[in-house]
Amino acid sequence: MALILIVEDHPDLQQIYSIAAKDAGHKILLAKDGTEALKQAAENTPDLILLDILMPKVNGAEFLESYDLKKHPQTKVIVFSNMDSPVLEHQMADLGVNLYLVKAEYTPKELMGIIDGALKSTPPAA
Amino acid sequence: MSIVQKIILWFLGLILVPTLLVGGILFLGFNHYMIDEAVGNLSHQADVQQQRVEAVVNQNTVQLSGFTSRILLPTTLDRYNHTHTAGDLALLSSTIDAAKSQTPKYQDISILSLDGKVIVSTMPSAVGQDYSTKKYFAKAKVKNDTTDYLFMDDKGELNINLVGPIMYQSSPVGIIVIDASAADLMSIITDYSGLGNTGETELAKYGANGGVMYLAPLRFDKTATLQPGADHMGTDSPVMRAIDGQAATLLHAMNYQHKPVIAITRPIKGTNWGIAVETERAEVYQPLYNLRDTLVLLIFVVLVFGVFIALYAARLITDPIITLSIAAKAVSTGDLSQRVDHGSNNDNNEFGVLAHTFNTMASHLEKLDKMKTEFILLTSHQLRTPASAVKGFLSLLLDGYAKPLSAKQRELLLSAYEENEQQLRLVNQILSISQAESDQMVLSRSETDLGKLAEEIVDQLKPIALEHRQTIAVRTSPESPKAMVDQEKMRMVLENLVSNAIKYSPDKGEITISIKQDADTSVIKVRDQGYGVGPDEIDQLFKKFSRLPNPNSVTAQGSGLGLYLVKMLVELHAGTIEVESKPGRGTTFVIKLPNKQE
Repeated sequence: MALILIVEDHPDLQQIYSIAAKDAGHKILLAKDGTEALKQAAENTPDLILLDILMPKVNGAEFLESYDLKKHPQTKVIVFSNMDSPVLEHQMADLGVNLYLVKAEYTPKELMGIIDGALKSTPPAA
Repeated sequence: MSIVQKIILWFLGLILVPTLLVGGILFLGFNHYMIDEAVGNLSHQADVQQQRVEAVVNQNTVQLSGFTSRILLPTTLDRYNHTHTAGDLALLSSTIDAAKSQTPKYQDISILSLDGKVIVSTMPSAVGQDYSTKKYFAKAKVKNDTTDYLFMDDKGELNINLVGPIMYQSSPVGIIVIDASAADLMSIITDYSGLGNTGETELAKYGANGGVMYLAPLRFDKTATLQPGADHMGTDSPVMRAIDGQAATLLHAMNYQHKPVIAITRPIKGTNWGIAVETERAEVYQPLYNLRDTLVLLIFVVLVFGVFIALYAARLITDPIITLSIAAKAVSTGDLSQRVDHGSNNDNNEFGVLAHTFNTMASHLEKLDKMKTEFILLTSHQLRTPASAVKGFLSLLLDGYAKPLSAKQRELLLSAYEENEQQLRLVNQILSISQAESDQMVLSRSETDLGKLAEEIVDQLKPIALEHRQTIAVRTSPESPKAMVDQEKMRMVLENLVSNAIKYSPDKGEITISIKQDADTSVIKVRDQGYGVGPDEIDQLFKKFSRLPNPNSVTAQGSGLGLYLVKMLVELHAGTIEVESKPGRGTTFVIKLPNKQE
């Protein structure tokens, strides 16, 4: 069981990932934009953040810049977006994200499988 | 021909044509002037020399006649012939002594009897000698001769015998023989003033053998003097024409040295002599040759300067063109950030305006390109998001998150799921094509096990094939064929081809993916036992939005983008794709990929 912060502005998608995550036995935190996500991440310490990019107010990239993954080595981040761009993928990699997935290509079940794999992987050296 | 070459040629033409024209006119004009000058000068010299020689001849004749016609000489001689008195002999002697002393050029004077005996002479040793054998003797009895008997004396001086009869009452009573110096004649002939370095006057008559005999030394052959028939000057030498009585101007003659000369010929009145005043053409033309050399040098200098100036002028024009061309080429290959530096000096000229326009155009293109990229990205995002939600909900239902499904419910939901997947594939294809077409697609190559990739795709698509009881097999060589490819792009290629094979094969059809590899190339074949296509349709296969009728389906499936995208992706890997197909006999797609990145 892990604490997963789902950052997603689309309510339907937020609902789908919540259902799947809960069903997989995880606890979830929800945020509909980067500002909320920063607040949630500060108040709790999520094991994994499922991060959308294109969001109102503070977007995914801005969230990562503020959150700073180096300061949170225990937290895994999976970027989960329908923006399929090599440029964005590079930008995310520069910000320390190793997993960049296109939402449309995965079923909720497949996503949970990936989340489980990510949670089991060794955290990067701080 | 490049612009630079054209400008240089035009420029050289502009410089050379007038230079050559002016030079040519100058050369020809100067040529005529030189010839006219030379001929004029030589003619003048010839006239002067002719007059001078004629004056000497005339003087000799007049003096001889004057001397023999004095009343004292014939009367005394006639009386002596009859009386032989010592008084008359002394009188004759004193007469010739007086004549000799009065006329400095006279060396000796002798009076001969009609039979050739020397009666009296200023040279005492000659008295009593018989001169009847002298060559002038026969002629001297008849008439005066002041031209025929030139000779060289012991001292090498030119002399002449002036001979003639002494007449008394119309009958000859004796013969006068004067040995006179011909120094006056010689000084005329050897006077080269006004004749340059090669000019001279030749004085000659015919020798005994019919050849030319020079009567005075030649400027460049002193030994030829009085050599009878020293005929080393050809049969048509200028001097021969003079002897023949011609007053001619010869522009192209040869002299006794066999050198080309310009010559003026003049006969000497009252004699069988002629003179040729000539000068070598080389000397006449020397100033012309100097002018020619100067002109050639001038043309060479003009050419060299012309090339440099033309090159400079050409580069003034072409350098900006080249700069612009390099930038335009870069833009044409996708580097829209290229700008042309037109420098402040060029701001107001044509290039400055052009460069500014080019930069503005490139900026617009760059802006449009960015807008296009963002548009595609956002559009695909917007299209995918609801489809992702549909996919998510349907997946949750199918995975039993809500409650177990009946078989019918499951079938219906699966159909909805598949349709949604089809839409997502279409969005992916459009996005990929847009990226590839705008050169934004970057291959992320890694060493990929092609066999494993094929197996994964088979696993993924097997459920659909099974619905039609089709089989899919992968055949590879025992060692796993590996190639440096973009795994995701190659997955897209094989997915498209295998899913097409499924779509266009009848039930129970066999689909085979075979992979072979040599040192450089991997060959992937996707073969089906489908309906195949005719030769006319093969060309249509890879065209955008081209869809062939599918006997399996009433409405054609697919977007018509799959094979177009497949071809783009294969070519992006520097590979090729070909189709082998016949109607009713299945279709084989053959992909050839380089194993390594080029």
